[in-house]
Amino acid sequence: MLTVSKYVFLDLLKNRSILVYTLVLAVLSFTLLGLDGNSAKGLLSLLNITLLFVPVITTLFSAIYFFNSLEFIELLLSQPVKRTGILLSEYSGMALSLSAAFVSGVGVPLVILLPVGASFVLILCGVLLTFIFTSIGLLIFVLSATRPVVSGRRSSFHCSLHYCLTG
Amino acid sequence: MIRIENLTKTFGKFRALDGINLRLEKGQAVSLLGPNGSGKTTLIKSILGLVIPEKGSIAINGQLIRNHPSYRANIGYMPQIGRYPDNMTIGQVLHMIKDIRKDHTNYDEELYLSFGLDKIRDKKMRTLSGGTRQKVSACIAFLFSPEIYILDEPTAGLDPVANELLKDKIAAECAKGKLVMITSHVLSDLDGLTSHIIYLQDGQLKFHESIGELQARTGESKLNKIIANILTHADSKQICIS
Repeated sequence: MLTVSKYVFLDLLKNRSILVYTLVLAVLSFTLLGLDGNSAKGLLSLLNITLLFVPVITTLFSAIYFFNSLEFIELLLSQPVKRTGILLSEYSGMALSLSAAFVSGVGVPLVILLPVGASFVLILCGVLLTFIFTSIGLLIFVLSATRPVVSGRRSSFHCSLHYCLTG
Repeated sequence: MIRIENLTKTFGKFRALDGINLRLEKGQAVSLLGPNGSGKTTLIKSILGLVIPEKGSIAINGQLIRNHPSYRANIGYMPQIGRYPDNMTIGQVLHMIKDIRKDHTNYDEELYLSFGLDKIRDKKMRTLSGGTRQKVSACIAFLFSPEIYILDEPTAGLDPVANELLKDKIAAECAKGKLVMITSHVLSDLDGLTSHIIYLQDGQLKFHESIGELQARTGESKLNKIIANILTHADSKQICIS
């Protein structure tokens, strides 16, 4: 089971969207923290960004990734393993990689520019939010992916999400 | 070996499987045929535990499959479309699968070598063509030398050389007394390979017979002629052409 998580995690670290997510967070953090001298305002703005961005990006990205991995997950499930084991491994690989992206994107600028107690609380909140919303992404996937392709609902949902994010 | 009783599966209002009763024994090469949407993939997924039926039961070697994932150690599955994480290499995918099956270390790497996958083991899955991904899927299905093979459109997308290698491998495994279930729309690929035909339509079992009986009944020897013969002679309302 640990191997599946490890490979999902490593696969995601090389994913372009995760890198873009990290970079965007890093740019935003450096900008907001460097903007005024007032560190409390900077931290508050960063909190707003976190509360706005992290849930949306995390849910969308994890749901899309799981949908794209549907056939691979089916292949893994055809092995003599429990369904919950595989799903938990996919979940943990995804949650850990998104958390790593958040910690690098927001955590690093915070630690460099503003190493106060409140910063660490923000980082912790971001990680917790990531874990929560990855599980919502997984829930969306599990609820929708068990519909048959015949109904077309899964494919239309998948298509609309895909077009939303890729433009 | 596989005993399916009264298998029924409905998705919302759509009845994918309707009271299927089947018995499959060792050493058979069973072709699962039928029009699109007839329930072939749902039947395969039910055997694999990917779909849980609401009525009926499936028993493999006498053991009911519900809630016991360990029976899948004896099944090799090759999906119709193989999709893999983009950034993993062939070697990493195989390593992951082998790690999931830690207890089984006796690998059958014949297809891995004959398909030339060892030479491209460091290529990322994202860079592979569809046919090459199919070869990886085939390799995984045969890797642990299981008792039962379930191959969903195995030859679709393979080049002619790989096609022949796979057919030879399937024939060799049948000769060893394994049970092979194949779904395919390319009936000519199944000629000479298949021993029994199962024909599904609208979730129901229309017929399940050996190739010998069908050849005698229709007077044809090639599979597409046999099926065409049965379909044209059947009541046109009951059986439709795939």
